[in-house]
Amino acid sequence: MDIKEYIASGVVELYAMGTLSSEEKKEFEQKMLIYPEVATELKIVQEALENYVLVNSRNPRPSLRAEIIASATESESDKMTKSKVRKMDSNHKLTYKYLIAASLAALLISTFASWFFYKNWNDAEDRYVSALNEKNQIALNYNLVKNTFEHTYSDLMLMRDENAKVMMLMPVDSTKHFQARVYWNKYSRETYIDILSLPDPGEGKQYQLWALTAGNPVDAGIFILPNDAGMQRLKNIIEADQWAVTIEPTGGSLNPSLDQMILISKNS
Amino acid sequence: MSRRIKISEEDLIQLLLAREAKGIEILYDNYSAALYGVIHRIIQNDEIAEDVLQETFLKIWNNFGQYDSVKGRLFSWMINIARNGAIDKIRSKEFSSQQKNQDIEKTVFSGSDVLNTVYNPDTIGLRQMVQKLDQEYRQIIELLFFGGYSQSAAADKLNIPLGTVKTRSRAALQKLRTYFGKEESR
Repeated sequence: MDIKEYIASGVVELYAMGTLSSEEKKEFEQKMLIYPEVATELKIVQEALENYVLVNSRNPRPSLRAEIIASATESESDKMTKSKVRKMDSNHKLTYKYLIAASLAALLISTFASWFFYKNWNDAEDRYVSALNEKNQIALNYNLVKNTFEHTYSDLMLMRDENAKVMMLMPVDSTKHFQARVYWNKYSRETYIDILSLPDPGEGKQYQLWALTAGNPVDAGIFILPNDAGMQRLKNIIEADQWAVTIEPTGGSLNPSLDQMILISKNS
Repeated sequence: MSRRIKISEEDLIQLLLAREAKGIEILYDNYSAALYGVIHRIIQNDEIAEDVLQETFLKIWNNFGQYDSVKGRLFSWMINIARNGAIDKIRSKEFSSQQKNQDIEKTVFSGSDVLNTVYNPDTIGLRQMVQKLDQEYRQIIELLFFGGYSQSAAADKLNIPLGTVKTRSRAALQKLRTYFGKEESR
């Protein structure tokens, strides 16, 4: 394109008014370096535009002069922050007011919420601890009841077993009211004694149960006077037609001390 | 203007390159009214226009090394910084939230009203001449230069072909040149 045509196209004016695309702008600046007439034309157009701008001059408020000169001549670092601060001051004044108000409100709400939830948490913690205590107490009671029940249940099962023989042991001295029962399962050979009433055997003494077969005694084990009325399991016995209880030295004896016989069952 | 100091552009450039405080003072005294006129014309709000004027002077002061006299005149370089700053501002979100959307068109076409805001006594004679500038020539300058319209947007706006935007721009500025031609020779 002829350079005169290029100038006449209006591209110089558009460059001066800042409306060329970046590509057109680059092309124009290259042309300006090559053709001095383009640069000269630009200066003339710019002067006309400058005059148009001067016609539209408007004086800013007088105090602005000092502010702008001060902010420009401050030290490099201050300059950046100052200009930013001032920019915020005027342009974001309202926004920042709202932001501050909003954050204060948020702080207030969250403080209240924290207190509220802390209080709730404390209450819940207290209730949790008391519930936990209650649970432990109940578990304890349950175990107690369970043990008692299991004990009772096994006693009951023993008594209900069709193979269990129940023998009543009566006092040798008929003036006394001593009594005990022996449960014996001849198949499983398990032997239990259930003390109904017996006196303290005395210091260094224990009771001992004997299983008699045709008058011959077999040791069925020593037993103590329990605090509760539970049944005590003693030695397994193979055969017995009569049962007796004697008082023996602690640890028991090989043979019964017949003069110390307290209880005896009827011969079955 | 009372404060206006006569200084050659070359001397002013030297002061500004040396970052002499005197440089920014002369710069302000000689150009603040013209630059504020451009900015206020675009922004139409005193407070925001003052902010943009400050930003403009800080850009000129801090980026003075970027000025290239080969690419044009100093005053035009500064005018473009002011104009671009103002157009960026009205296109920014913060501006549209603060302003009740002052329509650019209203600004652009209220020619005589805008011209009444001239305070520079040096240019009173020129003002009357500019008012004679044909309506269609003034429109194209207002849209492209003060409105920040692209060529195609201006073509759409004025309902003319894209090529006409270029030729009309040239004609408009040639007309301006003839008006100012007499003054330039003073």
